[in-house]
Amino acid sequence: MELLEYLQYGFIQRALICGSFIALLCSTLGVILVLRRFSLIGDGLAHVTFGTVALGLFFRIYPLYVSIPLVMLCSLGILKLTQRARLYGDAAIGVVSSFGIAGGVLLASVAGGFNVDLFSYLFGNILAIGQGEMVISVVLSIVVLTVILLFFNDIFSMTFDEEFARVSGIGTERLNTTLVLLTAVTVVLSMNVVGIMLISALLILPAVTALQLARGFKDAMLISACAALASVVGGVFISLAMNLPTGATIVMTNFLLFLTAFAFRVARQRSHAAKS
Amino acid sequence: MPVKIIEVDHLHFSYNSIPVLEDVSFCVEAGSFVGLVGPNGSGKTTLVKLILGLATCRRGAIRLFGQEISDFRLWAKVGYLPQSLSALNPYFPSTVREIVGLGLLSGKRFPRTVSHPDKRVIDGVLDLLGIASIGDTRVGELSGGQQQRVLIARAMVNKPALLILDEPTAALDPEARDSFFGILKDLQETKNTSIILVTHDIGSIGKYADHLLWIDRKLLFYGGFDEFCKSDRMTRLFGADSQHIICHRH
Repeated sequence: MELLEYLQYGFIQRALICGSFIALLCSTLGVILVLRRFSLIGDGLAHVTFGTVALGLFFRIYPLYVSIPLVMLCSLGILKLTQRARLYGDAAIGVVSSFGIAGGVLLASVAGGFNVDLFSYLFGNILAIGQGEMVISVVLSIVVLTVILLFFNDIFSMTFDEEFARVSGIGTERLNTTLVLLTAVTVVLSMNVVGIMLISALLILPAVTALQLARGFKDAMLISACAALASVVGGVFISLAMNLPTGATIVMTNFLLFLTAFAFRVARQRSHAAKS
Repeated sequence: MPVKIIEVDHLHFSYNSIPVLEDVSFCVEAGSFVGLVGPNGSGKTTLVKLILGLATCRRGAIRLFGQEISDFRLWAKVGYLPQSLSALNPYFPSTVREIVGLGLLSGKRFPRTVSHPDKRVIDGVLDLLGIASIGDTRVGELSGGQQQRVLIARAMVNKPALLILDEPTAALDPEARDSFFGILKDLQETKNTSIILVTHDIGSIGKYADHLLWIDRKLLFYGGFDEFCKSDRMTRLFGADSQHIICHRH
């Protein structure tokens, strides 16, 4: 079957539409998180998502509805621990993420296993995304991207120099809270695309690819978005053509793009050095 | 009657129960050039942070442009250069123009954007500081002195009525330092800009500042530089030979 023929199938269309929006979302937020040295929050919140999915399954509520508010709450917990409990960001993430994983394992044990395969949440299945999930993902992605666009320069200023941003009248505390809440929503939405185990790859890899090549902040956002889109679209088609798991293929495509960008930067640096 | 830009009234500040500032009171008038000096750990940077609302004082009061610091919103009037050049991330993807443009955001309403006319303003300040040729360079690729000038440009681009600079000349060579002090003096004289400059270099600041604010946890001296040079306090602080070294402009 030719690759373009796949496009006539609804499940492929949904995978590409949903995956592309999530890719845009992760890649733009990822640049901010990586530059603020807070990129592991994606990993931490993904572990929390494991606990909230288990909670949803335990009470027979659709996991996405349970996960979004609870993961948002835990993201605020990480922020407060960093600010109030004199913990560094990575330690605060560790505290909340271990709580999430332990909670999930305990719930799964108490329930004696779930009818739904918890494994599918761990590794995701973008090809199984339903119409309702796609609509939720697209709408929430548009909301999050709009917030990022509206506060673009505020976020840029705060990411570069938080102290200066405060003296510019930017409400950094409110903006920090908004960013962690947006990250929480993004992590939950990404669960279907690459699974809980690989969410942080979707946040970090396009961003670090962009940092190899970009000169400016806007360039970094654009390159990151392009890399993420290419890896989702490429990953979906490669996985179909080669009968591979889609989430893992998306992440490996992302990794290959990073290696290419890294090699390109090193070659460019050597060429500049040779000229001078 | 001279306009009061900064009023600090019986300010106390402690960090983890250790007193950092005790009963500091002074007032800066419009158009003053104040050199803020003192030994390491004397509370200079803390005082700057309190004045800018970056730290909260629990005893005493601070007013900026007549407003209590907790209610102050006129940030477009203030330009600030933080001390922490070393905290600058060398891998941050940002050009010099983008960074200088951030200095214009304080005068903008939501959503804050840098417009086309702003780009001319940015080019103007880059030209003034002699860094126009590196406008499109990534900040991480610059030397320490060039990065310092970029951050100075960011503080100055909004043409603030009050400039607060925390050790701005630390990474500058003597030529760039003299040129920078000349720009500040010009801003003070032509635009009536008030300047507070934190420094250890009391010799250089004496050439340009008209007021000296000396702190070492407590306020040791605040007044005109000429007055300081004639005072017994200077001899007590720096020794008998200091007159020649510090007050060489006189």
